[in-house]
Parts: sequence; structure tokens; C-alpha cells
Amino acid sequence: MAAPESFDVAILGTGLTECILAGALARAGKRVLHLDTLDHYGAQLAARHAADFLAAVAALPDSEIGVSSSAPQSASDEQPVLGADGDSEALAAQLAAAPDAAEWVARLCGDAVPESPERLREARFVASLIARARHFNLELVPAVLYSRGPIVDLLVSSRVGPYLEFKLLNDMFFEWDQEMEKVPSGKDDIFVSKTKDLLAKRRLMKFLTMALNYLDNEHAWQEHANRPFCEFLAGQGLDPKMSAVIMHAIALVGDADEAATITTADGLERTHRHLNSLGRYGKRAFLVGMYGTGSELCQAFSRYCAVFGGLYILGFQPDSIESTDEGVCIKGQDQTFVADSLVVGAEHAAKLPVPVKLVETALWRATIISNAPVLGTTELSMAALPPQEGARENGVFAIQLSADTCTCPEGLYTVSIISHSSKSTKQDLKDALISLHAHQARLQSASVWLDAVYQIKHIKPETEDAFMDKRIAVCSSPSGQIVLEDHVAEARRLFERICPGAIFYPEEAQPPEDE
Amino acid sequence: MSAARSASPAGAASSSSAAAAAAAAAAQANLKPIQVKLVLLGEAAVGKSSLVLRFVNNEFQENKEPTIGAAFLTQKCKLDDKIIKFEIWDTAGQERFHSLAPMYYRNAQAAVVAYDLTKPASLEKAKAWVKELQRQANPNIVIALVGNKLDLASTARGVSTEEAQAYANESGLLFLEASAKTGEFVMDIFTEIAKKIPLDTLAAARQRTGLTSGGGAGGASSSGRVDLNQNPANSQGADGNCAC
Ligand SMILES: Cc1cc2nc3c(=O)[nH]c(=O)nc-3n(C[C@H](O)[C@H](O)[C@H](O)COP(=O)(O)OP(=O)(O)OC[C@H]3O[C@@H](n4cnc5c(N)ncnc54)[C@H](O)[C@@H]3O)c2cc1C
Ligand SMILES: Nc1nc2c(ncn2[C@@H]2O[C@H](COP(=O)(O)OP(=O)(O)O)[C@@H](O)[C@H]2O)c(=O)[nH]1
Ligand SMILES: [Mg+2]
Repeated sequence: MAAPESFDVAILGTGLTECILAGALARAGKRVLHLDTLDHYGAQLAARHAADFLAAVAALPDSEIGVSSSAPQSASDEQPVLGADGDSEALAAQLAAAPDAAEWVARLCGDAVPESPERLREARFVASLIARARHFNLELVPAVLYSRGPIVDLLVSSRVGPYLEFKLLNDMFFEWDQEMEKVPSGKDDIFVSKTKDLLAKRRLMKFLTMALNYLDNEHAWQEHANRPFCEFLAGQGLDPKMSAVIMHAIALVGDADEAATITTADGLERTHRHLNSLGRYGKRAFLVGMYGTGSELCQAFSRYCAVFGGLYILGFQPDSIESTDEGVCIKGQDQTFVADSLVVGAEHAAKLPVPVKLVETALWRATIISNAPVLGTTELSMAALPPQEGARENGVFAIQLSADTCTCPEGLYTVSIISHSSKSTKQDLKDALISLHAHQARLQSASVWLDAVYQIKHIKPETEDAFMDKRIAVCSSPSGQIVLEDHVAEARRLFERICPGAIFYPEEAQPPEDE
Repeated sequence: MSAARSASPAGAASSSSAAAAAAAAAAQANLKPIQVKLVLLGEAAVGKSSLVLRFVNNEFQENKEPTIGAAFLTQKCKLDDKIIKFEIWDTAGQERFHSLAPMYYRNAQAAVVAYDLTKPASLEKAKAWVKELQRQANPNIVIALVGNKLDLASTARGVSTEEAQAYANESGLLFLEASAKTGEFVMDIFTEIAKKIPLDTLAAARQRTGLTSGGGAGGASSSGRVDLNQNPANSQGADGNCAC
């Protein structure tokens, strides 16, 4: 099959910056060639079926996958669980029906025929996950979107949005003194809660009102703009707990160092971003994608690029990339492509003919798959577990998803735990799993629980100027944050270098509402 | 992107009914269009985009890849007392190097698998797609096998009607030959699909998977799906909802 030979821009990698950029360039009339060495979209953001997910985790150095269960207190506590009731014959039948299940059961539960009801329940649980592997969309790097943030705004204005389906995370929790508490999302919540005295409530209201319109209230914080946000919060008469709620659950600062140093201006900006997202699509601020957030965004922007003429080749293995006078020349699979510019995802930088300076951050993460909710009985929810003396040095975030987002089959829940700090250790993540297990035990006495702890590398170019020579640029892999918003700005910067003066995603006419 | 079309040239089967008052009432109840996601599959250059353009805009572009600058095109089809709104996803060329995204075929209730009746190899490709559909897709998906470029049949036919029909019969597919160029039998593809779609189970199934059924006016659906266009751009979170 003869492919067109020359392009304005070639892009290698289908991470989010790359896909947003590809769509913008095609829309601006550029001829775009978009390649990935992998056979799926989304690079690290991809959503995987259960067996693929476990295999991907197992392939990461130092990763751990474990299964545990707690017995029902009484017969009536037994959950109608996927494969969790029955006997060893039922397990044998399950394994016979799904040959690849046997391998995972042996790996996670041992080779021996399980004796105790717990071990049997665990083995049946693992077998049922693998048997229904296709009904999972599990992400190594899950994320949420601000209801009013750069990504959602772009989805609306560009009309890429209709490809995708979103759900609102309906609850937001905050762990304090080993309790999961709801983060107030409005006036009513604040005044209904029993835990705070009236004066504290008034102070909190005053602060939040100011922060929502912080740019109009500069007088209230200008003097402190470049000083630590934590000091500013303390000066508002907020108690340590309320300060922590604002810092960690509202401004989404997870890292203890960052909590100590983030400036008042930045802290208010992030507080504002959260508050400003409340009420746009419901009571809470964050959206998640059905079938996965990052991977679906990548697919949608890629499709948009293709609709405007972009050429897509997944599973393309370049043999060589050379910078010539005519352009960047990419050879591979008996084809040669020439492009005026080349943008590659950071994970492909080693293939470039130019030296590239990269910054690499490795972050620990964990994923739980269980037959009972963990954060709260609301299926889709999120929690901030802030740094706490004796519990953990750095904070983590947790996102609970379910069949409601097609993340897993009916009756199961997944919880992803994310640390923003490269200082967090594997032990910190395991400690977080222990506290979450305790929260689950309070909601539900019997459960089966699989957890995977793993580390993901996040790579970005050292300098903000991503161009390594006049033709070749490198862009970041996912940032490692729980939000993906920075990818829009990165794509826009690259776009403006490649297409000076052109419009980045011109506002599209909204279709007429029919009936 | 041009807005999704919703004009209705679809002259689908309907009017023969002796239209009793009861039937009219039933029609009223079902007037809300039933949305059906339809995907196109088949080798590059068999005329998939041309078929869509003929069906939706009733036009044809000679010797060039038709540009379908829209997320997906919509076209309504009236069938007895129901209106079916096809949401038609074209491959946007992503089939050329096997780079279709899962998003493309997810939740498809109907598929048009096209081949070029002047090119026997394209039928083999179509068979591979049918196999893939039968392996991967929802078992209730309605598949139509379409031999396109019927206008060239008299001079350059490479696949006999009998051969394709026999394959379609044994695989349980709808089968038609059509021409995107002349428009011949293009409407029939969609009408036949509309007739075969199990409409009654459809509405319920869509609800469960979180897609808004029907015309999809703003607001979160009962399944909690968020419509991004639900609120006008700058309504602030204030009053009751925001934290102040
Ligand atoms: C031509 C073609 C090629 C495909 N190729 C691939 C491929 O290469 N890789 C791949 O991964 N998939 C592929 N698929 C499958 C596709 O991604 C969907 O999974 C499939 O269309 C849905 O069918 P199902 O068998 O899951 O339906 P069912 O199991 O009957 O599910 C019914 C509905 O429930 C939805 N659903 C699925 N999972 C859940 C869940 N966990 N919770 C709640 N609802 C759920 C489905 O979207 C579906 O609409 C392909 C499909 C087609 C048509
Ligand atoms: N003669 C003839 N040519 C057609 C017909 N349909 C499409 N074509 C031509 O076939 C080529 C490929 O069509 P296109 O719709 O782009 O195919 P796609 O790649 O499957 O989407 C174009 O040159 C069209 O003009 C048809 O019915 N008859
Ligand atoms: Mg086409």
C-alpha cells in the first residue's frame, strides 16, 4: 500500500499532548502523519482489560500484586459476589472455562488447591476477573477532569466532546484522624455538618467566597501573593483541619513539600479552579470518562485529526529517524516519510538523531479491585488522604470507579491511588492501602480485594522550549498529576511554534438542537 | 466541522398503513427518534465514505476522497410508526493501517461492511471484518454486507451476486449491491438495517450503558451521563452549588 510520502508534521506517540496537537494541526490545514510504536492509542494513558492490566503491572520493576479477603461475620453478610461463593468444584469449572485464568490464580493464590474458604474465595475472585477480562477498562495512569478547565472547555469549543461520554464523581472525601469525611461542596454542607463550630464555619465561608472570585479580591491576598499559601491559610483563622481540607482536597496539593512552599497566588488559583468547577455539571467538580479518561481523550482527538485528513499508523516501528535539509526522514516497515517537523513523545526521545535532555520522575501508584466499595457507597467518588503525622509523609489521592463508567463489571469497584510526590515510597502506598482497607471494613464486613502496587515513570523535556533543533520537538508523557489539564497548554505551545499565527482549535458552531 | 445533519430525505417505508386513530396514537408515543450507532467497515477505497455521503447528503464526489468534516453524520429514517436516527461513524481513513480506535466500534448496533464488487480481494477483506464483528461486537449487532460500485457491474464486475449472496446467507448478514455514484439501492441499505434492528430492546440497552437515548436534549440523563453542552458557557457555580 503506497502511503503519501511527505507531510507538514509527523508525530510519534499517541499520548495526550501529541493527540491534542495532531488535531489542532490537521484542523489548521497541516498534513499530519501520526505514528505510534504501540498498537493502541494513549501511550501510558491506555485503558486495559483485566489480564492485560495485570500483565502490564507485573512487567514493571518492583511491582506487587496481592489478593486478600475477609470472611463474612454471618451468613447474611455474604455478598452476591462474582464467583465468590461456591466450592472448589466451582473453581475447577471456572478454570476449565478460562484457561488463562489458571495462570493468574496460580501466580496470585499459589498452585495448591485452596483449602480455607478465604483462599477459595480469593482464587474464585481472580478467576472471575480473568474470565470477564474484556469487561474491564483499567488505567495505569487514571485521571479526572475539572468540569470547568482547559480540557473540558476545549472539548466543548472544538466539538470533540460528542465522541466521549463522561460521568461526574458524585462524592469527595477527605481522610482525617482515620475517618473518611465528606468535603463540603456548598453552603448547606458546611452549615449542616456537626463537626465545626459556627465561627469556624463563618471563617471557612468567608475564605471560600473570596477564593471563588480571588482575582476580584486581590486586596485580600496581594501582600501574601508570593509567600506560602499554608501561612496565608493559617492567617485566615482556619483550624489545621480546615486548612488541610483546602490545601489537599480542594487545591489538590498532595505533596508535603509542595504544601509547605506553594505560593498564595498559586494556591488560590488552584482553589479557585476547583470551586469554579462546582455546579457546572452537578454538585461536584470532577468528571471521569466512560471506559477511561486519558485513553478516551487520546482516541477522540486522534479521530478528530483523522477526520481532518491526518494519517494514522499504529504499531509502526521506525528503523531510523534522520534530520536532513529537506526535512525529517522517518524510515520503517518498507516506507519512508518526510516531514517538515517532527514531534515525539518523551518515551521515544532515544530514537531521535539529536541529544535530548529529559527530566524523569518515578511515582508510586496502586490499584484496588474489590467486590465492595471502599471510599463510600456512592459508586463514583474521590478522596484526598493528606499527609498526616504517623500515617504518611506525603498525601495521596484515590478515585473510586465502577461498572457505571464501564471500568469493571457490575458488582465490582476499582480504586486507584495516586501520589504526586516522587518522595513517596512503596511503603507509603501500602500504608494507604491499609487505611483504605480499614475504611472498607467499616462499610462492609466481607470483601475480596486485589491490589497492585507499581511505579510509573513520567518524563518531560528539561526546558520549556521543546524544540531540540529547528525541526524536532519532544513533549511530555503524562504529568503524573491526578489532572491532565497541562497537556492543553503544552500542545498549544507546540502548535504556536509550528503554525505561528494560526488559530488553535477555532470555536466550532454548535449544532442546532433537534426537537 | 459542519453540524450534524438532521434533514430527513430518507423516504423509508412507512405510508402504506391504513392509519387508524390507534396507530396514530402509537406513532405519537414513539415519535422520539431512536438513536442507532452505525459504523462502516471495509477496505480503503471501496466507497464507504461515498455511501455515507450519498445517504446523508444525496451527493457524490467523483475521483476524490469525500471529506466528511464531522464527528459523525446523522440521518433519520422513518419506519412504520418509528423514527430511527442513525448516528453514522465513518472510519476517517483510520482503517487503512488498522488503526481504528476502540471508541469507533464501541456500542455499535449496526455495521455496514462494504466491498468493491469490481475487486474480489475486497470481499475477502469484508469477510475478515465480519469475522471480527462476530467475535468482538455485541451479538445483536445488525450487519449489512454491501457490494458497492454497482454502476461498474456491467463492465468490470469481479464478484458475482450469487457468491456474495451465498456468503451473506450463511453468515446471517443482510446483503445488497448498491452504487454510491448513482445512488441506486443506497437508501435500501439503511431501510433494511432499520427494519432488522431490535428496536424494543434497544432503548433499554442504551439506557444501561449510559448513552442518552433519543434526541438527547441537555442535562444529565437518568443514567448520569454528563452532557458537556448542558450549561451555557459562563453560568458560574454560584448560588447554592458553589462553596459560598
Ligand atoms: C469490529 C470490532 C472490532 C473490535 N475490536 C476490538 C479490539 O481490537 N479490542 C478490543 O478491546 N475490543 C474490540 N471490540 C469490542 C468493543 O470495544 C466493545 O467491547 C464491544 O463492541 C462491546 O461488545 P461486548 O461484547 O462487550 O458487548 P456485551 O458484553 O453484550 O456488553 C453490552 C454492552 O455493555 C457495555 N459494557 C461493556 N463492558 C461493560 C462493563 N464493564 N460494564 C457495563 N457495561 C459494559 C458494552 O459497551 C456493550 O455495549 C471490537 C468490536 C468491533 C465491533
Ligand atoms: N464508480 C464508482 N466509484 C465509486 C463509488 N463509490 C465510491 N467510488 C469512488 O471510489 C473511490 C473511493 O471512495 P471512498 O468513498 O473514498 O472510499 P472509502 O475509502 O471506502 O471511504 C473514490 O474515488 C470514489 O469516487 C461507486 O459507487 N461507483
Ligand atoms: Mg473513507
